[in-house]
Amino acid sequence: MPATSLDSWQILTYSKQAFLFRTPPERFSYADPHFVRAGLPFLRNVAGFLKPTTCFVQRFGHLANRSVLDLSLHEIKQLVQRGELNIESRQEIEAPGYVMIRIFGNSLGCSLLMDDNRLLCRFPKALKQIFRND
Amino acid sequence: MQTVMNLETNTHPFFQHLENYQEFLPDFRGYLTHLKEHFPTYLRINTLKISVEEAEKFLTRDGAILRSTAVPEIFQLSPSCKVPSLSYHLGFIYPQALTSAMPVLAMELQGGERVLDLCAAPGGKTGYMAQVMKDNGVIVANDRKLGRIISLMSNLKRLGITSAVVIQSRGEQLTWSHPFDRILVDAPCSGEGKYRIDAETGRLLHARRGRTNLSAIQKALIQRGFDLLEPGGIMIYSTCTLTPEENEEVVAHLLKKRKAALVQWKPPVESSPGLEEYRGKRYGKELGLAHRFYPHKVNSVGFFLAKIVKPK
Repeated sequence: MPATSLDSWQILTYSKQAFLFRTPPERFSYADPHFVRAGLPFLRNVAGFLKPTTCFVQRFGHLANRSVLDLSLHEIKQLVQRGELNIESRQEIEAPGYVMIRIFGNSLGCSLLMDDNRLLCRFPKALKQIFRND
Repeated sequence: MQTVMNLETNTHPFFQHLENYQEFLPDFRGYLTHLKEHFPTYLRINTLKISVEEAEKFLTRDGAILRSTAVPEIFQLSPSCKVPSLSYHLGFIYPQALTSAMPVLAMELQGGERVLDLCAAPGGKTGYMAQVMKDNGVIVANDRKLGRIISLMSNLKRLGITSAVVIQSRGEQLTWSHPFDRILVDAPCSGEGKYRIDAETGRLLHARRGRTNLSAIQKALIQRGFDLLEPGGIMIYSTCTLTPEENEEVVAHLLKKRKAALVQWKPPVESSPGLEEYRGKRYGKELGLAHRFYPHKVNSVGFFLAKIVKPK
């Protein structure tokens, strides 16, 4: 996504995650002993790589201008049910690496594209369940 | 009163209150009849993620039949439809009562405010506030119990909200280093506005038991909320119950203890004025500026709302 997309946000790191927090008004202070969480989970360390969270992708994925794959409902069901999907080679998408999956133009989550054109499902359990039940 | 239900077989205190509620409930027979109906399901479109127009198309594709309401981003779902699961998991919708939108609408949020939601879980109103503010500003979302905090965080995550800070504390003891521009005290209550009667068995449904100390807790919450409010700021006190003991009496308590004032507000759905007195207790003329939303009049959960300002 464009470099300036998240200029209005701060990145907070705690609990081994990065969180995206809307820059608060100047008159706000949030040092509080009862603090549990601030912002939206943004990035997680998965096997040494930083992976965007599903909730971040679903909220900000529309800003992505590369590494995006639009899949049909049928393809997404196959991806979820088999755990992987073979796709046609796409030169504009770097592999191996995370790609953003869209359905009907809406960002769904991330999956991992391998350099043999296999797409490995990386959706969270609750999201996979929807496509298994349909 | 012609008996519509058998009071002798129903021991919940609500049935004992019902006879007294005839004094203020408009169209009492209509209320009793409506008690046996299911509430419709309402869906709020999360405009942080999708526009209302695109959501209508997406939801229709997801199998939903929708009807518009007096609130532009809230739709009534046809009784034949289930809540569409893909739309729900993508955070495009949040199922909530139509009346539970009223406290947020009364807050006059523009974006950029410092907001405190004192009893936030599970996060329906918190999410709506963030939406109205276009996720700009900050919302401190507090609740007492860890289990409720977990569902609050799950909902905020699903809705994609970045402007919320979640804290866990007893609302009536909360301290903060500065005041807030807007405060919502959506207090724990007996929930009579949600009560339904099973049409076949006559049993009371969704009834809450226990927590007899509610009025004392509510008074402590409203006072604490007011003390954390910036001069010139707006606080909303709301409940989903009908009993004046948890509504007008709590607001009247605040007016006695603090220099607070109720202000006029016009809701988008039908409401009745707050009670100025009830069964010998005088609450004051100002309470007429509060709002009572009755289930049979709005076809949604019963609610009480008072819009309160702190003079500069």
